[in-house]
Amino acid sequence: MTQENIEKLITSYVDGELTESPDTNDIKDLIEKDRGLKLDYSVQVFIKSIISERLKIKPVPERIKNKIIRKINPSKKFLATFFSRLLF
Amino acid sequence: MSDINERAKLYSEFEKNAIPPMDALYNYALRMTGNKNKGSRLLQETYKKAFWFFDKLDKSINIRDWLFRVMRNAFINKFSNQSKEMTESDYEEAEHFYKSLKSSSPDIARLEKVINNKLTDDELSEILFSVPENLRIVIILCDIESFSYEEIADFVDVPVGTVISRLRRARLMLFTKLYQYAEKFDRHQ
Repeated sequence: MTQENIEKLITSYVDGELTESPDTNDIKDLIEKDRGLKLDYSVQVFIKSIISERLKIKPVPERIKNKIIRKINPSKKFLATFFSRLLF
Repeated sequence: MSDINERAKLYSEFEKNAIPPMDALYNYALRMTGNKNKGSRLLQETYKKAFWFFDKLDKSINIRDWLFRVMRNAFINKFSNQSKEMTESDYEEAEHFYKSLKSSSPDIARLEKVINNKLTDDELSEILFSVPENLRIVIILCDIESFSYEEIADFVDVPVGTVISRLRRARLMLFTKLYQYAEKFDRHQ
């Protein structure tokens, strides 16, 4: 197996996307025995966790969501204007 | 009257299907454009375009995936910064640095501590934004949006093997940048 293929297997293992042989135990062995591969694995796990934890999906601000809905559906704009006039 | 009813039905169907994935799209827009104003504009542009084509859309299609495609095209047309396209030298520089780190056995636990205690989310976003577009797309889709390799390959129109290579490159590049950040931070202590 080429170095490039082994590196791809490590990445697939990190993402839980291993689809064919070798199985996860073989990959674990490879990682344990080779310092370079172990670093590759640790680095990718570290980056994946930092990115997924720290840059979680945030909700769209209501102001922007409403603006989009009003632009798409002009009747919502009409209703919003109508009710705001009733209120004030 | 029936035309009005048809229109109302279309609005309601669009809202029912297209609004739920809006948070995920907004997040993608923020990470790809690197700022809130541009991200909001890209989101608005995406929904405007999507609604134009919605009545002609094959209803069996996955709406979330389709909206991401609409956003990708809107991004390429109006927001993409071609100068940020990755050049070999960009990657070679990061790869060279990473190789030199490999021989010195970097202390990831210490790096994690600095990153968790000192790096703000905005700084992390900036560092992610500094990664070239073609690498940034795959890391956003995989690590934030939880797309599978197949879905990413379909989205960026490259083979799965290329997606995996880009993901690895993106992560190593980010690691290099974070490592350099931590080193700079240490020097100023």
